[in-house]
Amino acid sequence: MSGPAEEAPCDLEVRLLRGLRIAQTVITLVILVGLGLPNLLAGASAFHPAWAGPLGWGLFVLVAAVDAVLVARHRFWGRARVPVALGVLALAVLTALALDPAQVAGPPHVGYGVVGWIWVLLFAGARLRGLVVLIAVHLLFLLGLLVASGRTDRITLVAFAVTAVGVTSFQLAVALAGSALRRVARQAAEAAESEARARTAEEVARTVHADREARYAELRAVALPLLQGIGDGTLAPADPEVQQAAARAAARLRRMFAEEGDAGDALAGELAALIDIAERRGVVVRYSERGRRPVLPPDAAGALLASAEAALHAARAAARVTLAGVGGAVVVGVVTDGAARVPVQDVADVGTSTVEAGGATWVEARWAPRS
Amino acid sequence: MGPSIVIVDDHPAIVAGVRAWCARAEPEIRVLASGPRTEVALDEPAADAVVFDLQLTPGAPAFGDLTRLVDAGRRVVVYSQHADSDTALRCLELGAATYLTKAEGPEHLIPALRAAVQDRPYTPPVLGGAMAADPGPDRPVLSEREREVLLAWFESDSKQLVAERFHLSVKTVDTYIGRVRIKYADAGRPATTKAALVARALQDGLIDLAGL
Repeated sequence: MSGPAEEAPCDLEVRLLRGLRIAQTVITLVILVGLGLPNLLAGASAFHPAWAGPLGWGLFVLVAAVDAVLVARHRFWGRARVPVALGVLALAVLTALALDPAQVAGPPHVGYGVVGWIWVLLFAGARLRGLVVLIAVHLLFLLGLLVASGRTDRITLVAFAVTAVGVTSFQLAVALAGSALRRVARQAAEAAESEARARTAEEVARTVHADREARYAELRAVALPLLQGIGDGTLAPADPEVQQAAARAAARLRRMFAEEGDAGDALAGELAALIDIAERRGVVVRYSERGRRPVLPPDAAGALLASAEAALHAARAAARVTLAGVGGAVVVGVVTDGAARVPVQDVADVGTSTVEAGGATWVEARWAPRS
Repeated sequence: MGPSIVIVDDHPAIVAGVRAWCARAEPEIRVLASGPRTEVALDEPAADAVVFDLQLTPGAPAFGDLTRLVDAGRRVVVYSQHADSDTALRCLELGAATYLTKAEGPEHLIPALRAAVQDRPYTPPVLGGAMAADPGPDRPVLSEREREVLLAWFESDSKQLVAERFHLSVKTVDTYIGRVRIKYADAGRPATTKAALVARALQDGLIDLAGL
């Protein structure tokens, strides 16, 4: 039987297999209606009880019809495959047992050739082992019936072998075609997927490259004039102003190199604007962000930014700014070398704290929703 | 004699900068070799530690090279331009001694190298932030206090400020930060460098066997 670890058919596979499945369904229904039904009507008396033949036929038609609906809906039998296949086997066995032993493998034997086709329908999109086993079991059972009823003469056995091999090889050939189609489909899908991956990687590389180019342009604008000035002697390294400019440039370069950020968002953008203002005043700012952050209510975001702004405003030469998302809370921290006066704010779920030590002031504003 | 290192970085400015910081360190840290390829470090088994740039070629971070170094028993201090948490924690998981972003200068790189050489934990603020914000279900479980201390360390970059805020001694703050690092060493893929870190932490009394 098909293993439980069987892969689900891929999309392309479903589409490619569809034509073949339609053909299989048509073959099966034509055999059931065009061949099976007249034979059954002609030989209904061979069944004991008499309704066993028509009932078996009806159930075979039912399975084929359900399969036709599945094909129309681009679906496969999935988990129902094995139980239904076994049910069909049971049905084939019971109708054969209800049949006059002299008619086994003869014209009224509904199911003799057609069950194989029904299993072909059931096993579309699956491995073929189960199909082969079922067909083999069914044929061996019929052979057993022939032997049990003493029909071991050469003509009967040869006729049985010829029809069995003929019909079965047709069925297996169609099933194998399906299997080959699946393989082709899978390879094609894989090829398409790997091409898409390669394209994505290229696109990412291109974006990264453009980003880097932009940063090198900024580097040229920020650092080169300074380096040139120091190089040709127009700027003195001992000059505090030159030192300040160098420190600012260094801070910018570090930020550029660091490719910051777990998650860029509006809050981070606003914070960057505040940092920019501080840098224009000559403050060297180091910035880091960590963690994933929920989107804040506007008043909470405003409160965090106001606290950061007040702290940065007090910075004289250096500041560290951090933005973190920890366990659903969002924390903005600013450490400066100045004495910050943080505005008292009454915003829901926002708390601020100020800590001073060793000439540094650390202002933290935290939004921690209670829930 | 001071410890010796190898620098693996493809950016000459970074190599020059790290060399200068090492020369100025007290006691001096000797740079035995440097270059853009991981082989530079593999060919220099005498070095006590490796400063390793995670971005040797454009594209994917060089996790494979990091693993090779760790498997060769090297103490690796990753010095990376990637600032995202997942990259940092992945490096620890693979057995790096510690992880610094290139936004962190000599004030953290030099102590990180000294700590690595002694198999002692060193968690720079940005790595501390990554641990504090790390929600992964398969990651070590941190106590509420440990998480708060790490977050504070990330925010302030000052153990003194952290100590002041939580009314602890600087040494206790250090213990909290070090313990979390050991928790990370104790999780994930085994590596000799991780075992050395845990063994040293036991010797130093940073953790006890019951804490493992």
